[in-house]
Amino acid sequence: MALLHMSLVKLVRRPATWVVFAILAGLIVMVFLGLAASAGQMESMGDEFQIRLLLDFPTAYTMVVGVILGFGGLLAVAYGAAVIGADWAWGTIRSIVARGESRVRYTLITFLAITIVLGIGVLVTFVIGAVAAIIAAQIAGLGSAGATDPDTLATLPDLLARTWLGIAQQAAIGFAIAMLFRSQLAGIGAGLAFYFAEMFLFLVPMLRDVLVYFPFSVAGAVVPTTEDLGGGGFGNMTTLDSDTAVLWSIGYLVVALAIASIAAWRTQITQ
Amino acid sequence: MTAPTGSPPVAVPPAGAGFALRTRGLVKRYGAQPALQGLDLAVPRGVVYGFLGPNGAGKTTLMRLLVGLLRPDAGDIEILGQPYTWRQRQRLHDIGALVESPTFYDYLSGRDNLRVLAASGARVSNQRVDEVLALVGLAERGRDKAKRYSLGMKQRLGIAAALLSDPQLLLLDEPANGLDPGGIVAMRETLRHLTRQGKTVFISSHILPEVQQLADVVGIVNGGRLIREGKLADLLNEGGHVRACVNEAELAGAMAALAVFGVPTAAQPAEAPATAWIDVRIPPDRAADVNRALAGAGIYASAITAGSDLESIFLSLTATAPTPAAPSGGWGERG
Repeated sequence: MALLHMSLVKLVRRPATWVVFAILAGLIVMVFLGLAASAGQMESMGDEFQIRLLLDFPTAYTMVVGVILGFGGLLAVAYGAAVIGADWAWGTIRSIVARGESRVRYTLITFLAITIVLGIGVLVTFVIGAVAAIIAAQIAGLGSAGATDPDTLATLPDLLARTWLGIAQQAAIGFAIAMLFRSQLAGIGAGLAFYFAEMFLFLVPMLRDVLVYFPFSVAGAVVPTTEDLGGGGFGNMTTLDSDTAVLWSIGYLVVALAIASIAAWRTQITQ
Repeated sequence: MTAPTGSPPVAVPPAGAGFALRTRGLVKRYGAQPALQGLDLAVPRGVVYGFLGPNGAGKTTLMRLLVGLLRPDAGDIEILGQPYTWRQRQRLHDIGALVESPTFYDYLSGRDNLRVLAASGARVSNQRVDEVLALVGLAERGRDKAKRYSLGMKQRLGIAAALLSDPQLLLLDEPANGLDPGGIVAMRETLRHLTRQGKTVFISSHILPEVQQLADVVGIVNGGRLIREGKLADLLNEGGHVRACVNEAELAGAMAALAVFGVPTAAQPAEAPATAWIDVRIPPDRAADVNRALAGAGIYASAITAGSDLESIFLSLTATAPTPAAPSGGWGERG
């Protein structure tokens, strides 16, 4: 518990943590304000309908978690890589190992702390996003009564838990890559390259059936989507159904942590 | 750094009471490049052991092997009388180490950096964190962020981190690096205090005068092999020299007179015109014998000096010529 506590202290006091969440919260607010500003100005009825649907509750909640999984997932990859990569870049891993700490235990507890911080971050940004969505709905002249509908509110814990899983899984990929490369910069760079490569490959229709099983596509599909709205980081692209995606996401999370743990255990520290 | 006071001195364990650290046939390679080639080291308990060697001799590699950062390719390590392998990380709970330059989370305070370390490996209380901060003279600055620390303060914090678990064996890599003169003196007293408590201090250093003041036993490594190990006093005695300054015209006669000692002698021009220094490799307490031998041959030296320093012994053993860039032991804080 002491190690987990101090790992959390490290993350909470780390400026990068606050920067990541500030960027995500800012993006969510900007997205909803942009949608509110666009409502009523669309030339096509179809586009106007789409925008109003995005701002209407409960769909707006799905939109909020979609943005969190999309932009937030990208940030989570970088964050996961940055946290463990910094231990290599700054040489702090040396002091920890030299004290007789288990490398695997340290790796897993560090990731657990990341997951807890990301969970809190998901919750806070979701609340900010929901408030932004309500304000945007009001600006667009839509009611926000659906936001407090009991049936809708009952689905939020499940929605948030799935979002948390998707974010944690993406962070785990950045984390594992940084651990393999023993580098903060390489971890962030390779993690983001992997993310964008997967996204752009979706433009090739023949690959989509395979790509839906790839890690970032899976992470984006863990939340149930409203038909035609898509969900998660890959928007309207073909995705797995959310329950299957959850299983794949857990699988990727476990594999990423196994890779990170094995890398931590085997690595000879020469830095 | 504050020198510890108040604790009664503890007798140094007698020789042969066991070894704090032993290595046998230790081999480590980086690819094809050998770093250690069968290193045999024996560090007695309760002493300050100076581990010396030129750059690339394998000092840092040994430190990394001892604290589990690296795995040896061959050989055995014994720590505090028990075999130690890479997987027996719990054995490191009895060791405190400062390996290479100290590293910290810059955005955390010095105290929180120690708390992070205290939460890993052997658990340490917050009270102990405050104790070691006070011991190294950082109690007042413990709540400042580490990024505001000078090089010397970071070094003190690194030493504090090594002392956290009150270890039986302390491994320090260049502990005086960046410390000001007061800090060096206090560090020396702290380490002496630890050895009086029966603890062992293993220092890897380039600063030979500092090691000469501090170490009881030294090991000199070169090319990944131990080339000399023993009590510092014995080494200094064997490596002593007496130098006599004579008239150049009498140089040949003086060399012949000093041949009675049966040891190598060497001559080189002195600062004064038409004079030369003769260097005789004998213990410094035999300066009078040199004077007598020269006088017996009718030659009167204008000056006689005697001394012994680790630096010249080290250089002769490692056959390393001093370079202009080599540190000469200045104590001022750098960086």
